[in-house]
This record gives sequence, C-alpha cells and structure tokens, in this order.
Amino acid sequence: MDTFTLIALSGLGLGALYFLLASGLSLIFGLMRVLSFAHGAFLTVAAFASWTVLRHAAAPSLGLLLVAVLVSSVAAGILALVTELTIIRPLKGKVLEQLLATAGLGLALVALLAAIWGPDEHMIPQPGWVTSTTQVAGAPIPNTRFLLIGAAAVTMVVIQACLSRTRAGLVIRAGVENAEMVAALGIDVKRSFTAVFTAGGMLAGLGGALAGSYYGGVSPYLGDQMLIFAFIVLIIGGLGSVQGALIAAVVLGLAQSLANYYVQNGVGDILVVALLVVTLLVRPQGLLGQKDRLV
Amino acid sequence: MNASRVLSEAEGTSAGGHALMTLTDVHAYIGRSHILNGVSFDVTAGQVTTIVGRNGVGKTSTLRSILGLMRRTGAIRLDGRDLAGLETHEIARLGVGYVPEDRDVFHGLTIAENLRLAERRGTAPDYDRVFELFPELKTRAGQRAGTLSGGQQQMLSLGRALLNENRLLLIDEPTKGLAPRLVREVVDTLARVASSASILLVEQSLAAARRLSDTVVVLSEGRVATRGPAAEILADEASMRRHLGVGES
Repeated sequence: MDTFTLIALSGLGLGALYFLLASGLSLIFGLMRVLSFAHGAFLTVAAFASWTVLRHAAAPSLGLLLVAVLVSSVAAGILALVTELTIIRPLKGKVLEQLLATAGLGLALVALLAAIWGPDEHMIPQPGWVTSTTQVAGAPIPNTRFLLIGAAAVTMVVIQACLSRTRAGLVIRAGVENAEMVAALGIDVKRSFTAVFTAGGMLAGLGGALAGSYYGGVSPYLGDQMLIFAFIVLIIGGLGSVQGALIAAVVLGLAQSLANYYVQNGVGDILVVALLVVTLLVRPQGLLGQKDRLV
Repeated sequence: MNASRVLSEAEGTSAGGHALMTLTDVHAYIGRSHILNGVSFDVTAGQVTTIVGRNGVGKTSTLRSILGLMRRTGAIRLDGRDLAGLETHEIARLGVGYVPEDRDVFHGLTIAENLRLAERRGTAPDYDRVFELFPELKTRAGQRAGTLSGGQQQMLSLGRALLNENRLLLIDEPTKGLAPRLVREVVDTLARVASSASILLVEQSLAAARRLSDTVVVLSEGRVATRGPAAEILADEASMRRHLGVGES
C-alpha cells in the first residue's frame, strides 16, 4: 500500500507536469489552430533559466525557487511572444508552414542550448523542503510531487477563472468557436492570439522550472521528451479542451508510472502510446474534443 | 415600409439621401476562384438596400468583402472613408454591424455572454432597445446559445448587431431556414429596425424584399445585373425570372 501510494502520487506529479505543458498547447490550438512544436524548447529554455538562478546557491530558499519560477515563466513568455509576432503571425492560416517553422525553431533552440552549456545534464540545487519527503498513508512522498500537483491545480483554477470571469476569457471562448465572427464584432482577435500564445509559453516556462525540480536536473533535451507526452495528452484530452487535457494528463501520468513500476520499466511508455492509438480509433476527437477538430 | 419613408417618397424625396457606402469595381476571391467581378453600387443612408440573386452569384461575398473577410480589390468607402487596408475589427468599429447568414452565435456562451461580447469600447450598449425588440433574450439570458431554436438564434444574432449604434447594418438572409411564422416575426422586426437604420440586406424571399427594401441590387455571375428602386425592380417579373429563376416567392 505504501509503495502504491508513492507510485500513484509520483504519477500524479508527472501528470501535473504534462498538464502544465499541454494546457498551454491546448489553449493555443483551441483559439489559433496552431500546433506549436517549439513549446518543448520553451520549456527547456525556462528550465535553464531556473538553473541559472539557482545554480550558485548552496542551499537555495523557497523564496529563491519562487524567483526562479517567475524568471523562467517570464523568459519563456518573452520567447513565445517573439515567436508569435515573428513566425506565427506572418504565417497565419498556413498550417504546415507554421508547424515546420515551430519545429525548426525548437531544433535550433535545443542546438543553441547544447552549444552553450553542453549536452549533459546539469544538477539544479533545490530548497531543503523540495528535496525532503512528507508521510502520506505511511509512504514517504517527495515534496516535489506536491509542488507539481499544487502548481497544476492552481493553473487549472486560474485558467478556468480567466476563461469564465474576464472579458479576455470571453473573447477566447468565443474565438475558439469562431474567430472570424469575433473580429466582425469589432474585437482585435490578433491581440488575443498573441496573449494566448504568450500565456502558453509562460505555462511551459512554469513547467520547465518545476521539471527541473522533479528530475533534479536539466539538459537541452528535457523539453523534447516532455513535448511528445504533452502532445499525446492534448490528443487524448481533445484538441483545444483544457479540461480534457487535465483528465488525460492525470490518466497518462498514473498509467505510465504504475505500469513502469508494477510491470516493467518502459512498459508505461508503451501503454501511453497504446492509449493514444485506442483513442484515435475509438474517439478521434478525444475525450472532450469536438468532432470538427479531429487530429 | 415605414410611415416616414412612405411620406418621404410621396413627397418625392429620399428618406436618407447621401450615399453612406459606395462600392466601386469590387473584385473578390476565394482561393483561386473569382467570386465578384467588378461590383459597383451605393447604399443610401437611412434606407434598406437589398441584394437579390440566385445562389452563388456573390451576395454573401459582397457583405464579407465589405467587412474584409475576403481577399478583395476595388474601392469600398464608408461615408467617404476608404476601407482598404483596414482589418475586420477596425471596419466593425467604424459602425458596421453584421448579422451573418448562419447567425454564427457562439453556442458555448450564454445569451448574456453573446451580448456582452458584442459591447463595443467607447459606446454605451443599448440593452433597452435589444430587449424591447426581443424580450426573450432577457428572460433566457442565462441559457446557452447552442440550445436555442433557429428563430431564437436569429433574434440573438440581430440583437447582437443592434446593441451598438451602427452606421450600417449588413444582414445576410435573416429569414433563411425559418418557419413561416418566424419569417413574419423577423420581417416585422426588421421593418421596425429599418425605421432608424441604414441596412444592406441579402434576401432570397421576394416577399420579404418587397416589404423591406427601398433599393434593390440584382447580382448575376458576380456582377450587378440591374439596380434601382425596389418597387420598380421587383415588379419586373421577366427580370426576376431571368435573374432569380422565380416569379414569386
């Protein structure tokens, strides 16, 4: 039972990490119909930003970790903003070109990070609380799991509050249905596109900072691994559905962790791909997606 | 036709007078298809100008071209201001309201949210006017638009356009797909709206066009085939048969 609790909460932590990346991708696809392959690199840049803030501290405080999270989110947000203005916007409506351009940017950023800091993993010093454990039902749970689950829960609440209680959220919800009609009502949809892409980048940044805590280190290839699973979460949850992404992230994180532990290491990854295949065959629009947004 | 307009015509004057919108040699394209082939006509202020024609002649494309929703060339002027280079939201903010062919209400939003979204910065939304015309929009404010009937969605789409003080309303086939009773209601409402607004209307129903229009523009193959006073154009049965394929609707 102790082991199950540990593995299950670790799975939820992993799912929370997937959600942080997938929620931004989901918002972006929902409004803009853009699949950004650069988001993995945004996450990696943010993780390196977090490492830069924390690397020289022998025993960083929780306050410094918070600073690192903020710096990471802002760095990824600025990167996303520049990407939207210089790549996504000029290629508006050209789906394949946008996809290739963001994939190219992702590759270039990873190569740049590897050229500057090398391809190897760098350990990130963590505050004492983060590296310690808390007993849950007799199991010692690493606090990073609670950190990730808490961050994902707060992110979900903030996204829902923004979507349901602000005018910007109203514009996004309407734009997801029909961006053309939103513009015909006199609303500058392009500004919403830029804001959502930037917010998606900041969520990737948050994920990057916390991924560094979860894995204890950062390498230029961190985001690439995460991006694959984030896209699977996105597809299983339903393209453009943040709630769907949350459900899929929890299911995938749990399934992956439990299968890797109880069956054999590596089986969890195969199970995730199997779930993707089953979803595409049985319900191609995903759990909460709409039928006009098939993969 | 409203009383003031009948009086104006009896006196031999136009209710509005000046050309509110002018289209000159407008060409529009969807991909490589050339949809409009040099459309030119005026929309007179204070009047209802109705575009009629067979399916696929470019009626909806004309409205979408005005709003910048299609690639187009030629000149479109609103009160003398060239709309070239303006984006859709900028054209709408100049005071152009749009009621699209398929209503395009936001299904996942409530009625109240649909209306709130249409509020324009810098102008006071006229909810009293909207709720006077469509009381149901007030009583059902919390209902999701996707659960409304076709007629109710049309009311919401019209209400959304009437919330702001627009200089011109672009209304695309407001009676399309509605039951006869609802068609009468919508036409009655439009007749009331027309008493205080300038409207460029696309309408397939000749009966509705006769009731509402001051001026008619007949489109054929992406060009203006004929235009003139509604009473004269719509009474020409041979022309209607030729351009619309019907004598009566």
